[in-house]
Amino acid sequence: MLLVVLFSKLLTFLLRLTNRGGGTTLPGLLVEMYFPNVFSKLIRQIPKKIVITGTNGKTTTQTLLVSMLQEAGYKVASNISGANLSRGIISSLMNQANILGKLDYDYAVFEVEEGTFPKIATELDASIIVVTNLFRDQLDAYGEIDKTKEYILEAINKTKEAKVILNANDPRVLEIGKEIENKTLYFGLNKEDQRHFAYEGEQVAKVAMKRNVLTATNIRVNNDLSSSFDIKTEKIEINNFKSPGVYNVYNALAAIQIALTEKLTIEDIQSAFDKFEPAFGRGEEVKIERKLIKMLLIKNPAGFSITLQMLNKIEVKDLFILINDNIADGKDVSWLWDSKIELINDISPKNIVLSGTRAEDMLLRLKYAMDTRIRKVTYNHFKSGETNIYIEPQIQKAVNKALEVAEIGNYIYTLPTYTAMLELRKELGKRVKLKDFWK
Amino acid sequence: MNEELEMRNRKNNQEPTTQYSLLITHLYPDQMNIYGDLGNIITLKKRAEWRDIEVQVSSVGASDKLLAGKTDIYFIGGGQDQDQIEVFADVRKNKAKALKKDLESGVPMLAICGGYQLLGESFLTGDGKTIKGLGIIPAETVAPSTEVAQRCIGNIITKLPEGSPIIKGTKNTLVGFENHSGRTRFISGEVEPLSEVLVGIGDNENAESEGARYLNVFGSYMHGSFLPKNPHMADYILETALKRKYGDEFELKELDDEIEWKAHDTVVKRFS
Repeated sequence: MLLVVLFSKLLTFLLRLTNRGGGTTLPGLLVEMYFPNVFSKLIRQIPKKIVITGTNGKTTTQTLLVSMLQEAGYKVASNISGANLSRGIISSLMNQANILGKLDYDYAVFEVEEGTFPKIATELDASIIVVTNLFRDQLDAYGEIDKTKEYILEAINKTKEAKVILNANDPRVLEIGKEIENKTLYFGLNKEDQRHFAYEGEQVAKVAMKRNVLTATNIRVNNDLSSSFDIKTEKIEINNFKSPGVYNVYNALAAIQIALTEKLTIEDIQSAFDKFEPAFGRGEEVKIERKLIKMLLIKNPAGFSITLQMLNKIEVKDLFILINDNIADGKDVSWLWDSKIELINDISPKNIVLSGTRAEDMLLRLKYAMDTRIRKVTYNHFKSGETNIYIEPQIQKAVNKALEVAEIGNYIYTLPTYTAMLELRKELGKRVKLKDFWK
Repeated sequence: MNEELEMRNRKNNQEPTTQYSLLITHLYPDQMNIYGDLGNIITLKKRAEWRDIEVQVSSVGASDKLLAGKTDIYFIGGGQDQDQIEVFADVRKNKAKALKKDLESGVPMLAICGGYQLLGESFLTGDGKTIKGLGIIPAETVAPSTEVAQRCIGNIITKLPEGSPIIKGTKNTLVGFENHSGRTRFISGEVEPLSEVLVGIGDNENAESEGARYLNVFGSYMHGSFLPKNPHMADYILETALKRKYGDEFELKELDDEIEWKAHDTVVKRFS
């Protein structure tokens, strides 16, 4: 095993050195294929494992929770890079192990992709499992929506001792709660606040909003999209949580629920929030040429619609939308037609720049969404009323365009799909210093 | 979603200058809409409105009555297997009579994926249940299993048959994305395939065709959504409905479809 870990570290070093990636999945893939019991040997060394799964919010929840545990003085292993398939988790473990293959950590906090979870649930042997939410997402990968719920149920049933923490507002997640024997805790928003979220599925299970549901109230969203809220039952007040919008309050609640279960103090929790910087691409801000690119990752209709809803509450002059259709983005762009793009009419930006492998599909979607008919100015410049729409499929040109048309001091609200976000960060990284995404 | 579209439309509507109107009936919008199929309704509605034709969209679900003789265009999307079982049963019990009457009299219909399967005789699901369909098209669908790996998933490009009235100028291709467990095959020769597969799978691994046409009923497995990137198909459905309602002399005004074709051609170029 020593040799395997050593080889993996060398490979990661070379990958990062030659700019071929962060070493977050390839080493793991090789180990998975050729040394299948290394995973067990590694994960067994860490006493407490926490798994975060669900459609949206895994990375933000994970980043927050890791920060809280570290504030409390614990050593935490994680896959903050977001590589959440089994090969990504194995890579994370090997990178965080020392040269002898030893992992000296108190906790492992892993976000795990829904379909992967049942395959590694037994080895992971989680003591806590969180399900953030369940939305239609990447149906080209899953086939159908109910499949993801089944995968998660299968995984939870392999870990009957784990405490399970669920989103009380999501009917699909509540169905999971009904079908498991594990000790269950909940988090959620009150009726008034949750009506903005288009959860799927029928409300079949009602959870009394009294016991066991950690609730955020008095939620305010500031102009920089950060939020402030209270948790009255725990006497917690959070100010300026930097992950954008109300939907991220859910992720905050999930992380806090776990922290409380692990008996962290309020000071540790609040301290983590004070220091918190949003996970890469999820509210991350990059200052460039005196303009501010604010990255808001979109992955599915729920995410896209909620992001637009949030932008509708502030002044937006510049929008930058990048749609790719690689495997990690979802190859089927039909999801654009389930997204409430019509909300852009209310947002009324001055400029919209479109990019990515499916920029043309996004332009088409806009054509059918804008109230005022789109007219052509040049081959890559269109207008709808006073809104300019520029199309530049190639990301480098698109970044130039977005920077060119934005005024100094403006926020450029940037909505990329996953691989577009990675490409965008790479492009921006050529011009300014960015945090490595695996850090 | 439909209600929002209606409200938005009413907000932006000026004085009605139009004398033409269409009623689109959207069947089972809650259960049969999982792959962006709403885009088809959006496309039909907008393309009609851009020609000053007023459009009403009526949602008809499991608890609603369907009256024959009112609808100008029917649409039904795709759903999960479980929802299909409920929908097929409701159609046969409560909607079949009115629906068959309208479809046999030439009312155009677009049925995507699960909707397409509904038009056939039967659907044998991946976990062994047989659901009886409407029986309008002599076709049957079989799903080999519930494994994702056995689904037909991917970009699909097809070619319309020579002489097809759907072809516009030189534009004879259809593009979309398929994602289905069911393999559909025709039981008799009385049904026309919609198009020939160039890239992708289509109805099943052995057929080289995708979709079907019977009278003015069109079935297809294409998502994408189907109509936005295939404006000639959208216009053919609109024109068929309008000619039926207002007479053969009705002519659909040309629209500038540069953006539609740009998206269409990008798919053809990339995946051919």
